[in-house]
Amino acid sequence: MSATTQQLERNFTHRFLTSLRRMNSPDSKTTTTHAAGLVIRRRSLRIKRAAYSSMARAAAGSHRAWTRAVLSRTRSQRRRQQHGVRPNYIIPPSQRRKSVKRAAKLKKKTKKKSVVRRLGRAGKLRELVPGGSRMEMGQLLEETAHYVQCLAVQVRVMQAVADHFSSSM
Amino acid sequence: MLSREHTTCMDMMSVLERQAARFKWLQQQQQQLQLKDATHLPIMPHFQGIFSQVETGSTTTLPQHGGNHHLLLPSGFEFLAPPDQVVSHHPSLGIDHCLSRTSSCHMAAAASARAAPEEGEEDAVVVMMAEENGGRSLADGSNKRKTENEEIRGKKRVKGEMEVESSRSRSEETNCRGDSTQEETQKKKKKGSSSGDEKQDYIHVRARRGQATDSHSLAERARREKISRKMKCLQDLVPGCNKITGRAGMLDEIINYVQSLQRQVEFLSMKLAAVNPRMEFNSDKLSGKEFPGYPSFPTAMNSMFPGAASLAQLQQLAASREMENLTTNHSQISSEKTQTSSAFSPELCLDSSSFPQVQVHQPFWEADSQSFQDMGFHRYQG
Repeated sequence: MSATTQQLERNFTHRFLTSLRRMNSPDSKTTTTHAAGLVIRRRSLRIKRAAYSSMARAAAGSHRAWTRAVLSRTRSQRRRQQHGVRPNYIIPPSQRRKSVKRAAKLKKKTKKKSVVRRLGRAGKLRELVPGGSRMEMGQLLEETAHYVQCLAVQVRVMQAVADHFSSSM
Repeated sequence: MLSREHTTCMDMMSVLERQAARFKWLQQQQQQLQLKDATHLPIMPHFQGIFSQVETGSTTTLPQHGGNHHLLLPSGFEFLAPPDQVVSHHPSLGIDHCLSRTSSCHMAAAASARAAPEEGEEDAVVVMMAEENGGRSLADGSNKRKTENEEIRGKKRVKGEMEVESSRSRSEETNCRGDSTQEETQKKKKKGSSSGDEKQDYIHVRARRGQATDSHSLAERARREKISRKMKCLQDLVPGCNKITGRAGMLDEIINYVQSLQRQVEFLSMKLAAVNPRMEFNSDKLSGKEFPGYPSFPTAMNSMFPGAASLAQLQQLAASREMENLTTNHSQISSEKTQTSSAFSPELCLDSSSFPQVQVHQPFWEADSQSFQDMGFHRYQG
């Protein structure tokens, strides 16, 4: 275990716990009208997002392509939440209303994706690594290496946190 | 006499001295032309004297030679033409062009920039003179000048070198051209891989025997080398990737590893969401009676994680957590609940049995990260 990895671990742990605390603070916007399972699901999504973004911040900030991709994604999601657009997973499928415009957009998006979608193993890897679709092969492998390192650290820390919480309560 | 002197010069002198000799010969040709011309006859004695000076100067070393030209020839020109004609390069006077020629010769020796049209003019003059005299050696010289000029126009950067090397053999010149093209390809590569290695000035790519040397294949080879280097890095990072040979298998392994890690992150976030006391669960609205009826959570879990964790256990865990939330004080009930949850945890979590039990009863997210550090990632760091 190298010093940089330990530093990364410490940094990530700090950020992750801070974001967890902020998430659990009472003044954060919470909705209680939905079913409990959906809430759990939503919470898990939020935790996952917090973990990814704090990992990205802890790892490289904006110096890496994948961290930039992750951070921009979280930023756009936050903006969408602030503008009051409820994500689809909150609303039950029966109540979901699709505006014509949005549906058309969605259709277009999927169609485009199917066209752009790359074949082969490299294409698969591109889908997995955030921001990988815009990378050239050498860069993709480099970013994958960094991403794998960070993910391993992330999994270890999250495992430890989860174990601690489940054992302490 | 002149041709003999020229050949001896060609044999003996170095490059620029030879150029100087050629210049001298041209000057004398010009002199002959002007001897034919009746209008310039009275001026010639002065000029001849100057040329004799030039000849004596040219046999000495190179810098002196250049200095001689600069010192002497403007003075010689003053005899021939008024100063405004110096600027305008009067076409009727052949000596004019000879003067510009000498100056350009010196400039080339100093490897400074010069204008292409001027060169072209000189060439035209030289060719014209060759036609007039029918001298073969002069024609050869003009051809050489022409090729030199082409090279100069082609690559202005290596001009000084080319000027110096103008007396070398053809093969050497082609070698030099090859070198310059390699430089260009290296520059291209530097542009292409600027993201990868910014610290290096350029990548050295050597073409071995039998390998292609054009820029595209060199770039492609550099790219392939980079990819294989990165693959080796990844091979060290991904467990179980050492035994696999072949790029496809390694990529498969990497993809599997990344996917498994991402799934683990998802699962752990799920677990944290279940484990965390939920502030969103208002204890007023959700009573203990409503809680068992809770239909959507297992299905959600099922849809997200088929077989990730036993759902009944998770549900029970969530129930115990909920009960804990309902109790306002940390009384005996809550301690019982913690016991039950810790009884659940060995099955639920992978290896929490060996994890040190923490007796802090404050909400756990208040415990700062330093305590986590102390508490023990070192167990996982092996």
